[in-house]
Order: sequence, then structure tokens, then C-alpha cells
Amino acid sequence: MRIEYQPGTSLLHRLDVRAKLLLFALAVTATFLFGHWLPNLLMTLIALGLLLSSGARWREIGGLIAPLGFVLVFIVVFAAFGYNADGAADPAHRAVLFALLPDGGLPLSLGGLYYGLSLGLRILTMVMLTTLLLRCTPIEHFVAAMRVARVPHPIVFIVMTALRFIPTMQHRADQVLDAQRARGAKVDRGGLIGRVRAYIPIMVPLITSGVRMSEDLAAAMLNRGYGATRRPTALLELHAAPRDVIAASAGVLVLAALVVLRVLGWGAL
Amino acid sequence: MTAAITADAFSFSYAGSGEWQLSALGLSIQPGERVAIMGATGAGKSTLAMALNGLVPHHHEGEVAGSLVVDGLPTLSSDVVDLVRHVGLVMQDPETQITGATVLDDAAVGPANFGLPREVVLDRARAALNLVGMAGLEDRDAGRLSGGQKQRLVVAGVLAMDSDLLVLDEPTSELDPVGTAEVFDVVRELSATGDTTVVLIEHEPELVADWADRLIVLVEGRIVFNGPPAGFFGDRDLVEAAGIRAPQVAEAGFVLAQAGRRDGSVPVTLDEAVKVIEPWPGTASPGAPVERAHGDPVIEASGLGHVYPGGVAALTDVDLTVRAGEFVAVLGRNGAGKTTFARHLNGLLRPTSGTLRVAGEDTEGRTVSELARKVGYVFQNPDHQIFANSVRDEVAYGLRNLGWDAARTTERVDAVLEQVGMAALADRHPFTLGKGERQRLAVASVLALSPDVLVIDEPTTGQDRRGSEAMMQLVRTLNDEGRTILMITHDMTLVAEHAERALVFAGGSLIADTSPAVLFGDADLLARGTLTAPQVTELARRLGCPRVVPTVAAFAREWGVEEAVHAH
Repeated sequence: MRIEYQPGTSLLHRLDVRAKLLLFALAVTATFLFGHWLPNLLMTLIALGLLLSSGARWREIGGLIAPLGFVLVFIVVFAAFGYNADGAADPAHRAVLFALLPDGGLPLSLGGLYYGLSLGLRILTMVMLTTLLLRCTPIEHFVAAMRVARVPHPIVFIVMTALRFIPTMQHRADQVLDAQRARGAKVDRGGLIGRVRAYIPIMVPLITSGVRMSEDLAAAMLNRGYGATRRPTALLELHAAPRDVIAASAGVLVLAALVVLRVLGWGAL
Repeated sequence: MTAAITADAFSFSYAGSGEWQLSALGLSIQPGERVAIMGATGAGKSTLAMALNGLVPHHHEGEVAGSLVVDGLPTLSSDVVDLVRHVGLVMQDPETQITGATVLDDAAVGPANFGLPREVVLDRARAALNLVGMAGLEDRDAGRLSGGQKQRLVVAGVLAMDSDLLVLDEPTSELDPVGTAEVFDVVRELSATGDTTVVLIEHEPELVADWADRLIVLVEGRIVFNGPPAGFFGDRDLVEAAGIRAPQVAEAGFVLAQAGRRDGSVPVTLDEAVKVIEPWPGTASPGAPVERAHGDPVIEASGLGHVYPGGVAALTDVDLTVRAGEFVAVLGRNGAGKTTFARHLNGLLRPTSGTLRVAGEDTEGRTVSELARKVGYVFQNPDHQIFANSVRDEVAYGLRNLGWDAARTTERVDAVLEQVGMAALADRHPFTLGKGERQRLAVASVLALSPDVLVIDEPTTGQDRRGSEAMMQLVRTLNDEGRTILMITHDMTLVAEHAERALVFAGGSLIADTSPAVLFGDADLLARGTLTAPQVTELARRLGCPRVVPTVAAFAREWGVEEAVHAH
């Protein structure tokens, strides 16, 4: 799935970008609160539900997660085996399910399994929330938020331009790939070294044309009077509506409630 | 009245280049003039365009001499940010000139950079969009516009800065005929009022002759002509020496003048030519069409269709057979399906319905690298594929992919370089070659695999007359040697001169499979394919010739002039 803005009219689309960024930060904090897999699973499911309600299709979500599959499994396994069960608060978590080595080395404890699962679920939640944020918010809104935050214009411009050129570079990469495949390039075969070698014929034209594009862009910017003033006129003005205040307050309250639960010992591993 | 542009012995040399890209230019252009600039590749056209708004020498640095004053501002001592308030520059590739997310945002970039009040910025942007015919599209995603719309948006962007001098550097070179027409309509409208001075760099002589009040021709950085277009195009030797093509009607005039059928003066626009050239003399000399024998079918499409994953039907139910040795033109506007069709031939795309057979075998289950040995695909922009450090290595790439050993590869590379006339350049770095040579290198690197079929996408784009002629000569030779050629192009003159068959795509369907002559004679079909017949075809029709005249050579035949066509 291309992680880019999809026009829509859902509540998430209509919220002010500042409210969304706050909610996003609260949600990310929430994922770090609980060590137990169950609350993490709940949050993953909520993120999935939100993503689906924003119009993402199951297949697209699969396409988003599939490339992460290997890394996720890797992290879950390493975390699970590396977990030190001796310190677990709940004695049940110290139970060893099995050990990888015959002499009892590298044991997998129940606590380790839960810990690994939590970690994997957190990553999934964050990937989905980030995607959700980007799908529901046009780039200009992030840029406007940066302006409101008084980020210097050159930095705002760099971010804006970089984001603007992602689809262009994606398109250019496809063109280069096609041109090399038409000369018999086998880009998806061979070991790691073979693949890196196969990518040289793709990276070189892509980089040279990228450099050329950036030169053209620099000239085009000057053509449009870039640098005439230190603070160019902002075209997009952000307006916070009552719903933004309500949503942000609700988010803060939910996080506060979760923190209280956590302090009471709920959801710990 | 002060002149819009005054140059006095203006010279410029890019730092480190060691030669003058512009040499002792002297000119004076009045406000409201319509000025065209022409010249071969490397003549200094773009450098002049950038000098007009100060990018040269303030952004692209180098040695300067003389003076250039634009709208009362001396460019050497003024800042670019001040010059751009007076001079708007539109460059070739719209892709790199758009920075706003939406149409309105992008049109507003200039005035916003000046720090004007928000209301003024938006008013100016809306007014500029209105001028280029894009009112109503304000909220559209700028990235998803058509090429013609993008370039019009760029024009709006500079108009919004309130400049009264508009400089356009080959604004249509990346566009299809529809986009080109859109941009030209805007240029015509803007220049018709006389409020805006328009300087246009353009390589189509027909457009220049029709539009410009004044033509400036550059050769190696010097002005060799400065005056009304008719004065230049009427002098065949001058046109030839500048490496430029004359309008086809002028060519037709030359042919008759050479045969003693006209006095020396030649028409340069179609309307003029219709008035002054003698009507069709009525001699019935159709010139028997050369029937060429063709071999076995090499491409057989049956019910071929392609639906993209998003559900867009890009190609619907295409049935056709191409035989070995044919020279086929593949035509249609951008998005008509011609590229989608061509990309099936070497397996870059797979049919979602129907079948495709290449060299007698179904393409199903055959990899791109297998098919690449049957169908070579030369893409439009050679810079999208060139990566090696030498011409030789670039050509060897495909053979190495096939697993050929070093000795055999060297032998084949040498043979191919010989064939395309690049043997002397074998050890050069590809990026030191000119655009025409890089395009030739792209052809060579595909030819290395000895494909029977060659798909060539716009082989002459961005090249001057000499470059184009050399490239077409090569393609012709390859065809004469028996290779099947499928040429994707917007250039109807190329089609008329080289192709024996035309495939016309529109809306994803093959709407015609016929000869170029039949196509050019069918106004309805041309309209449906958004194509325009060559100028000489229109001339002959208006002069009463009952047959379709696709080329100047055919015109000479119909007007009873034998072998008088100027040999290029």
C-alpha cells in the first residue's frame, strides 16, 4: 500500500492536524504502558479497526504488514528467548515451556513469550497508527503545523519538497527498473551480494536523474521568487473546532485512565 | 517606450567550460513582441532564456561580458528575486517546476514568496489560473494533472507573479499533441493582447512561422538571424546551416522553385502557401506504392486486454498481427494505451485477458529476460538506463545478464558499436556524450541482445534536426536489415516518412490499423485519435489534390516535379 494521503470525510480526516498529532502521541504513549499481551492486542485491534474505518482494504493492510513479517518474527523470537524470567513478578510466568539447547540453555519461558508478543504487537500498532495518520492528513496540514510551531521556513520547505517528490521518485524508479529489465536484468534473484550488484544499474540512473531533478527544482524555485522574504505568506490557516478540543480532551482522559490502571498494577507482565 | 529587452555585446561562458555559450549578442525587443528563438542543440538557447531572468549568471555562474537589460533592470547588477518579478521563466519539464500540493497552492507560490497579504496572493493565483484556462481546478492534486495541465499550471505560477515578460524554454517538449495544443493556445492568447512580451524557444518551425513577429536564430552562441520568420525560412541555405528544419510548406515552395515553377520567394505559413502555390496540376502520377514482402508473424495479439490493479482498464480487446520486417507506428495521445500495449511485448506487463504470441510462442510463463532477446525495448529517455562507466560496458550489460563469457561479449559489443557507428566512442564515459549519442547508445545496448523486434519510444525527442535525422537513419537501416520496428511517436512527420503501417490507440482500444496515407486522409479518424496530419498533407488537400500527400517528396511527385527533393 502506498502510504499517502487519501481524501475522505471521516472524523479523522476532519480533525485539526494539531489534535491528530496530540492523539497520535497519546496513543503511542499508551502502547508503551502495558507489558501484558492482552492490552497490547486490544490496542492493535483498535488501530486495525480505525485503519479499516478510514477506508483501507484488508489486502492493502496485508501489503503493509507483509514486508515487516520477517523483522517482526525476528524481534518477537529474540525478545522471547532473551527475556529474563527470573525477575518476573508472576511466578506462573517463570515456567519454562522448552529450551532450545539440550542442556537447558536458551529457555523459552511463558513470560518471555508474552513479552515477545507484546513487543511485536506494539510495533504493529505503531505502524498502523502512523499509516492512519498519514492517510487522513494532507501534507500541507503537517507543513502548516510546522509553521505554527515556528519551524524556520527553509526546513519547512525541505520537508514539504521531500514529501512532494516521493511519488515522482517512485515513478522514476519504476521507469529505470523497466529499462533495465528490458535488457535482461534479473533484479529479484541471487543472494544478498547478487542483489546489491543488480541494484547498481538501478541506483546509478536514479541518483543521476535525482540530482538533475534537484538542479531543475532549484532553478524553478528561484523562478518563483524563493528567498524574497524570510516568511512567505502562509496560505493554509489552521482553525481548531470544538470537536478538536473534545477529541484532544477525550484522548488525554483516556490516557490518564490507562495510567491509573497501570499504576494499580493492571496489565503488567 | 523603453525596450523590453536590450542586449549589448552580451557574452557568457559557464565556469570551467572554456568556451562562450553566448557570444556578443546584440538585440532590442519592444514590449508586446512575440519572439521565437531557434537553434540546434548547444546553440545557447536555454542559456539565453536563463540570462533573461538572471539565473545566468547569478545561479549558474560564469564569465560575463557586455550588458543585458530587461524591463529596465540590468541583469548583471540586479538580484534574481527582483528580476523574477518582471520576467517569468517556464522550463521544459513541468514535473520539476511544481512544488505546491494543489493547483491553487502551486499557482500561489510566487506571490506567497513575496510575502504579500494572503488575500492578494490567492486573488492573483486565481486570476492567473483563469488566464491559462484552469479555473475550477483549484483544489485538484497538482501531481495528478495531465502533462498539458501541469505546464499550464507552471505558466500560471509565473503569471501570478505579475511579470510582463514571459520566457518559455521548449515548454511542450515533454507533452503529447493534446498538451502541446493546450499550452500553445495559452501562449497565443497571452501574446495576442500585446500586454505581455513573450519569448518562446521552440523547435517546430510550423508553429514559429505561424506565431512569431520576430525570430532569433542562434548558431554556436551567435545570432545569425534576427527578423520576421519569413526572412529566415525563405533562405534555404541559412536554414540548413543553422541545423533547423523549415516549415513543410516552405519545403514544398522550394521544390517548385527549384524546378523553375515559382519565383524565388517561398511561403512559410499554410494560409500563405495556399494562396501563392499553384493548385494541383492534375497530372495523375500516384507513384505506385512500394509493396514490401513481409515474413512470418512475430507479434500476434488476440483479445489482448490489461486492467491495472486499481481497476482501470488500460487496454481492451486488441487484435493484431505484425509480421517480420514491418515498420509500424504506434500512435495515440498519452494514456491512450499505446505504451501499455508495447510493454506487453517484452513481458513488462502481462495480459489480464486474451493472449499474446511473440515469435510464434505464447508469452505466458516466459520471463522478461527471455522475451528481451526477442523484443528489444528502447525507452524514451536514455538517462533512465545508462549507468556504466564506459560505452562498451553499457552495451555489454544485457549480454552479461545472459551469462555470456568475456570473449564472446567483447566480440558482440564491438560488432554492435560498429553497426550503430559508435566504435570510436567505445571507451568514452556515457555522460560525456551528447543527447543524440546517448539515445544511440540506448539503442545499441538493446541491439546487443539481437532482438528480432525493436520497440522504440519517441526516438527523436529532444534532438535537433541533425540528431533526429541520424537516429532515423539508424532505425531505417535496422529495418532494412529485416528487424521489425514498432515506433511509438507523436511526430506525424516521422510517421509519414518512415512507417508503412499505423496503429492508432484511443481510450485503451485499437481504433485503427491502417496505412499512414489512409490515416492522414481520414479527418474523423485523426480527430478520434487526437492526431494532426503533417502540414504538407493539409496543403495538398487545400490545393485540390485528390490523393493523400503524406510527405514533401509525395507532394513533388503529385506536382510533377521529379527527383528535385532536397537531399538531407
